[in-house]
Amino acid sequence: MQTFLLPSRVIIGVLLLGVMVFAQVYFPVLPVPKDNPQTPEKIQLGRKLFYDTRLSADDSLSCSSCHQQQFAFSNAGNAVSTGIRGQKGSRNAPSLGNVAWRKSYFWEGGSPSLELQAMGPLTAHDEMAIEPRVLVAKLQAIPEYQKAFSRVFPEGITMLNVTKAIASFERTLVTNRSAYDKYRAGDEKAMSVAAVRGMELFFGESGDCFHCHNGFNFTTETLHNTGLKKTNPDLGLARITNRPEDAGKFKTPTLRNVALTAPYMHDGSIATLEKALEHYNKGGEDNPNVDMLMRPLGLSKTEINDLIEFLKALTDVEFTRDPRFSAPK
Amino acid sequence: MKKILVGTVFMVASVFGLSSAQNNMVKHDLKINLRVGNAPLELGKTYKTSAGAEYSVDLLKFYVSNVQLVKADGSSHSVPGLSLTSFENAATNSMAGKMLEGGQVYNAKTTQAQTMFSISAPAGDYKGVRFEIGVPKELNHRDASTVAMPLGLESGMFWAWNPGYIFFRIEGKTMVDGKTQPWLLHMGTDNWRLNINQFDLTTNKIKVLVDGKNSTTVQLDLEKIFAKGPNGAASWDLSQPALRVMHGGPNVGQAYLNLLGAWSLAQ
Ligand code: HEC
Ligand code: HEC
Repeated sequence: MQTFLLPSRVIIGVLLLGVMVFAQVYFPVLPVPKDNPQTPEKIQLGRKLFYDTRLSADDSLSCSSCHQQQFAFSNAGNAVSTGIRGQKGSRNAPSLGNVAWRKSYFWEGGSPSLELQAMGPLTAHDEMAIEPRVLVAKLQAIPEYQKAFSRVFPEGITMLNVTKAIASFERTLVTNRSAYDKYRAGDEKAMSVAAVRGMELFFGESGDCFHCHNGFNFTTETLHNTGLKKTNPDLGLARITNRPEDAGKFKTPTLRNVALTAPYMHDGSIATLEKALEHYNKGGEDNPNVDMLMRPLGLSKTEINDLIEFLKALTDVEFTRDPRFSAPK
Repeated sequence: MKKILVGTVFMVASVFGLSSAQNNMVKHDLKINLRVGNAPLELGKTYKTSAGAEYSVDLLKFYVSNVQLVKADGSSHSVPGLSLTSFENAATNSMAGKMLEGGQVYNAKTTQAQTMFSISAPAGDYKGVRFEIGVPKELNHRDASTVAMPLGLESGMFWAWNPGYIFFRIEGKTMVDGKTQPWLLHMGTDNWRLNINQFDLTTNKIKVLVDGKNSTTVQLDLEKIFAKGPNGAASWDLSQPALRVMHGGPNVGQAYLNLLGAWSLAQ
């Protein structure tokens, strides 16, 4: 018995190692800032904060109000989000899947880190609308948080430590178990025939999606004007650079779990994947800053359906149910 | 690198502290009166714009930096340091009046004669003062998670979507179609650092006597924020969402021009 078991364990070990090496090449190492290392206690604290409505001015909203696990941490069903006291925002809440790997944050890419990004929703008047020092005082009055923070941070509760803990939790939101990932790992049956055809279109010159939606997370992290409208009511990148040619440029979003996150685009103006594909097939609207890559594609109905099948194969249902990411008990 | 950043900010603060210890240096407070037209601003009180829109002010916060005392020969004495002054309506903010740690942060209790910057300078008879409302460019783009107050995250002035700080932040309420709505102006970015000049070399109208006893008071007339609308419009239309909530973009450009004309010296 023993002699039989040992080799099979070795085999499993070798297989696991193989998968791990493969996974590492495919998914780059999780980027973690030196001054905010991941620890289990910090991640749990961040998770608690992410789901706690006391982080908003009137205790009505938490991060999870607009970034919901069942929708891959997007605000599906809402073109734009609604903040405290019913204040409507002007943008669509993106999925937080694999958010650790993003090179910049917000639709115009103005924030360099998850730590600093979190300041945005906490303080924005149309999101959680809380003054940093009010929040710090509020948390300091909660013994549970006093204890949890002092275990993780020598300085205890500060604004920076609130954002560090939340960022640590966000870094754990890894989505890599879609049908496409299984297909890539060698399970040829994981994707339908139509989805495989769609994949070829996606990564080929006829669909041309990969020029912007490339890599393991389906984004090159670059900003483009995709001719969503004829004008650019939301300035996008130009809000930061003040350059007219940057008006209407937005960060390329990930397409992982995209079937769960409708409506689409920075303003939530496209309701379905079918409509999104129509937009690309048409080459977008005639916008002065529209990207050179945007042009009529001449895709047939079947090809469009195949592309949609492929996008659906990027759904990671396990991610939306993973108990590690859900509201803490 | 990060250590150096923190060190520099600290140095700015300590140079400021040290210089006051030198013999010929005296203290001189730069104070501010907030006005609405000719009247002192009351936080939370309802006012009307020239176009007839009702508004109130619940919060005003701004940075003062690059303070200079102008001498008779046109040269100036620069005063290092950066301060954050904050006026908050206690009715809407339970923390109003509480001091923040470190840096120079002034939390004003009333809207009149409040110190916004503590000058330390050689005693003398100066012809005026100039300063900027904003964070100097070299401090505006650092990693906000590594710097101390008044630039730390607790300042409430860090602009998460844009690498930089809000220089001038005003928030309040207005009525639109019978419903109370927030209005706010968050002005920042290196283009929109307000340069305020209050000096006069040719006449003797402005006197800034730095003798350790006096102070200088400037006035900010908030009514002037709404002086002109964007694109040549005669007035500011607070009912338009884009003119009610401003975090950058061309409308802030007009608010910036309006604000440039809102400062004067109190005599
Ligand atoms: C009221 C809804 C709402 C709440 C509450 C909210 N968000 Fe968001 N979130 C959004 C919207 C909308 C955007 C896009 C904003 C933009 O780009 O201007 C966004 C963007 C983000 C991004 C950027 C993602 C990317 O790829 O650029 C991150 C990260 C994020 N939110 C995390 C959080 C965290 C952490 C919290 C809690 C502290 C939070 N959000 C609370 C709606 C919300
Ligand atoms: C020129 C670069 C570029 C190309 C080529 C491109 N995209 Fe995009 N894609 C973007 C950008 C940028 C956005 C966000 C645009 C916005 O919000 O205004 C986007 C958004 C999307 C969205 C919405 C995602 C969401 O979460 O809102 C989908 C779906 C999408 N693209 C699919 C595709 C497909 C399929 C193709 C190929 C047919 C494609 N894209 C080609 C840059 C590109």
